[in-house]
Amino acid sequence: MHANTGHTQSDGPKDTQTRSSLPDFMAENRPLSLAEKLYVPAMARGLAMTFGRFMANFLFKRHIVTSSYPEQRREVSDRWRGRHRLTRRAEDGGLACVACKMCEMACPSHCITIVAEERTLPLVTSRQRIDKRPRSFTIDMARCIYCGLCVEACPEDAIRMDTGIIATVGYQRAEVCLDRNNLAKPPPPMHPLLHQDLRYPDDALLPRILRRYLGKDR
Amino acid sequence: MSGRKDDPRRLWSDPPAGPPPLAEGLKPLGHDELDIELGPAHPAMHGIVKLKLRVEGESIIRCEPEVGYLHRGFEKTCEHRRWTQCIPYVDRLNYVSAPVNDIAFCMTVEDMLGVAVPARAVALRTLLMEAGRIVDHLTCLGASAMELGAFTAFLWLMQAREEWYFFLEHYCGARITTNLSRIGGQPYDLFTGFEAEVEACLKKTEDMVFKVHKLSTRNRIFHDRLRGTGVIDADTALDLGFTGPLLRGSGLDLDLRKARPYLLYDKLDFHVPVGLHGDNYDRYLVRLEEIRQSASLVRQVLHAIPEGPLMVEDPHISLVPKTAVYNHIEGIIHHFKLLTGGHAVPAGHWYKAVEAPNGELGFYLVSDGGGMPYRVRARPPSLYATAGLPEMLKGQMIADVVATFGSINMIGGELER
Amino acid sequence: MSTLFYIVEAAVKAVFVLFAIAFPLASLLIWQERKQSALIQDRLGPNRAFINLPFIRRFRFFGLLHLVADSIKMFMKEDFMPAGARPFLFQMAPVLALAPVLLVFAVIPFGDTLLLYLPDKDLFYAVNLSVASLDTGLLFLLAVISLTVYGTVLAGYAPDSKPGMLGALRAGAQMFSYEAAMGLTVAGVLMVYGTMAIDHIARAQDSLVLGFLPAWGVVYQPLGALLFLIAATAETKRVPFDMPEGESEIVGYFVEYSAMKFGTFMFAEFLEVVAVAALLTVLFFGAYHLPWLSWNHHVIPWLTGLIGAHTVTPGLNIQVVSLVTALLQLLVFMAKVGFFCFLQLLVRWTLPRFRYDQLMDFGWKLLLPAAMINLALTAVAVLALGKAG
Repeated sequence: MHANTGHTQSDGPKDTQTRSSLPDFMAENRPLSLAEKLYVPAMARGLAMTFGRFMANFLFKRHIVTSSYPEQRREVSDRWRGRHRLTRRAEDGGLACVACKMCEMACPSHCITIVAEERTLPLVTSRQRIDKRPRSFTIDMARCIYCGLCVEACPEDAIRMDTGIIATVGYQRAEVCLDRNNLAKPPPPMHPLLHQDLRYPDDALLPRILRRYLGKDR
Repeated sequence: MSGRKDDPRRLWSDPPAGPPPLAEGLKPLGHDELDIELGPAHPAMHGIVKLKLRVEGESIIRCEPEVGYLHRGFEKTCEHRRWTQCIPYVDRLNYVSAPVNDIAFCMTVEDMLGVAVPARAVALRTLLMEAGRIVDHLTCLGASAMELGAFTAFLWLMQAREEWYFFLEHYCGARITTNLSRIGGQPYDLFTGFEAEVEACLKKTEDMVFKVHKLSTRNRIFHDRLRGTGVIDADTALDLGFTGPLLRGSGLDLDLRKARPYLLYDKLDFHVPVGLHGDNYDRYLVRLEEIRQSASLVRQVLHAIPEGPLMVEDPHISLVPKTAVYNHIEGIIHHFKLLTGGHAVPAGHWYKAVEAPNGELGFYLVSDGGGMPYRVRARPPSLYATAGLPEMLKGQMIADVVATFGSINMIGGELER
Repeated sequence: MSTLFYIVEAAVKAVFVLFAIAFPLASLLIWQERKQSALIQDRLGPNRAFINLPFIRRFRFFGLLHLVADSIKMFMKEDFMPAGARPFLFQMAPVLALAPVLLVFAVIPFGDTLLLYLPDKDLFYAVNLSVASLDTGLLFLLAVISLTVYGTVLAGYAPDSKPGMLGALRAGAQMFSYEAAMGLTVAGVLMVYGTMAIDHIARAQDSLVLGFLPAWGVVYQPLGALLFLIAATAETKRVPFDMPEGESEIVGYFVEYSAMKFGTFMFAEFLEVVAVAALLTVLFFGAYHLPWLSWNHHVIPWLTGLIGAHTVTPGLNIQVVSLVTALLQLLVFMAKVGFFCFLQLLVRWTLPRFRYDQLMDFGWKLLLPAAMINLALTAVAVLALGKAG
């Protein structure tokens, strides 16, 4: 390796389709010209740019990118890894989860806790005979790093992160620890999706993305 | 301090009364000298770093960075996680260019396993690495501009960065902590409108970068702040272990994409910018030029993504497709074994480095044959840059600290792991 | 006229200038800074604060209520004095930062005259529409501006703080460096108009020069106007000269102040912006005059024809014509001041900041020689044109 003593002009690749429209920046590695030394050209250009931007935004709101949360919510993508949900089986509406604890093992932050129990009346579906179900399925959303490894790990497609819910919030730690079964006392009147089961019994509360998925089969 | 003074659980003693003793080799204050500390909670110290400066008037005589405020025990934690579970942790090293970290780690493990990733995944990885490079440079330039007082340049570049974060969200489901690569390939395929979205991101980036360039580069105030400050010559830089834009800004043409090509870099047409003076202005220009080159690289890869599988078709390395898991017993057995046991990486050690936006990001992995790594060591490029900060700041002024610190692009997550 | 009358007259004018011009404009500037910077940076800026009462809940007032919220916040924060601080100086520093700026407004004319009708003598008494019509207005101005250094340096010295001290020393050196250049540019104006009384300078910008150009200061002293703007920006420590308060660097000379003391520093800075805009307007851009429309030759005769020279308001006996004229002049003045405030804010969000030594180089090696050259050229021109008649 030897020091490069000069600058070789770079136009980018020969194919104009893949070339970038930016100028060659290394050509700026030269001393300031006399006009530039007087501060004036750059100032005038800068003021013109900011003034132009100001006028465009002030009069026509042309470039404003702010969205007024919470009146305007951001559209999340299909693949957004948001809050989890446990899916249901088409046959009987029960949870698809068989408490195999694969997600618990796959989770890097150990935030899923499952206690399995026997399904006393084993469910025989078209494909299999199901003997287990989760007695409790808890995800501590304060520990979750939203990596999606639990979704990859599940052999039953029982857990998904496609609710599109960006944040799980609460005033106390217990509120962000989501449980399969509701707590003994009824939930306080808060945002309806908080304090919910990881199932969604109420269609009206289903996020838009979810409704699309329910139309498909697994 | 909890408990009583003679409580055996206390691991360290209370600090002694009075001022702490001077560090070794530190002379007592001279006539016009002042000891001042920048940080750790300081707007210009990205991440959290404390800089202890000894100044005489305005010029710096001695500088000592104190790190460790963000140490999270990443390397130790990874020793207790299976190989795939380490990937979200690796995301959080250089958190502004997470795709680069993911892919680098996966490539190292794949080298140890001796597998070759399918061509489609290789192309996607190249594209994502360059996207990570663009995002990192936008962040670095934006933050440096803001610290120099050009607030508008910062926000315009952040706008361009937002587009890339939307793209990453569409691709893998998260903006910053992407977790977008697995050992054996890519788990996520292209989505509808992929090409259009990448093209839109590139266009916005070029637009905003051009605006910021017009606003700043030939502005004498900006130029004077950066030109001649934070100077380091090529030999000292090499001795200190600098890599990436810091080394190239000093004139040494070393880029791992050209020197030790990986992924598709030996087949792509790009130019590596090299500076002349080794000061902050050269590094600024090098980063701008790298954005330009990365934009062209992304376009080249975008038009040439081959068809094919995304993951290696070996059930011992990548998770079997879900249809096999749901319907076949071997599928579910392989799935179970891979998830509970982890990848059976043969015992041994391996070091692989990629050209991250900050420099040479290397992973040194030691395996004992089990499903969890025995040792994960990340070579953080920022560490050497921060260690070289005293050399760069010799004789400079306090105001130059901010400019220089911004141009080394020290990322706390990577520095302190 | 009795002494009491003079005192009341000055007091009324002072109250008016402060509470109708200076304070509202400075407060608005706080909001404008945020809104303007947002619009430049493709954001929306403050737009949320509202009063939670039945009928005005829906109105957001474009975010103006954020000002109120900020003020309330500042008053309610803990007023903290660091351990090693010197109490008297610590309390005095914000006051010393604010007071000289308020004094600047004493000599700025915001209108020509207001005529009071004295019925017992059947005379009109002309009230000069500046708080103090000093014959040595310019000198007073420069003296008062120099006092602002005290507030700054004490703010860094009084608490026992190293970063604050560094910032204060830088600020002090910067301020008195740029005062030299500012004084010289103002001297150019002095030469052209031949008087130090600022309201005379304002009145003198009424005529036309060369037949078609308004006789504004900028026409006689274009370079002087530019240099004055730059020097005054450096005095007020705004970007690109805001190294002393470089937020991302040394955090500023007022780093040890909290609550309303800090609020006072911030408010003083915005008042200085208004003061600089006002000075620029008065000295260089025709004060309250419209470019080709003269108040004395066109507007007042027309209004007198319309309303009548002896129509007065009941009670205070102010001639209505002069009242209307004064209000219009105030409007014009405020428009110009508003424009220059906008310009200063625009500059803040465009340019990066100087490093300290570059700042001092710029002041002593570029600005001061330029101001001296300007002065020399002005002197030659005045002499030559004066001889020519």
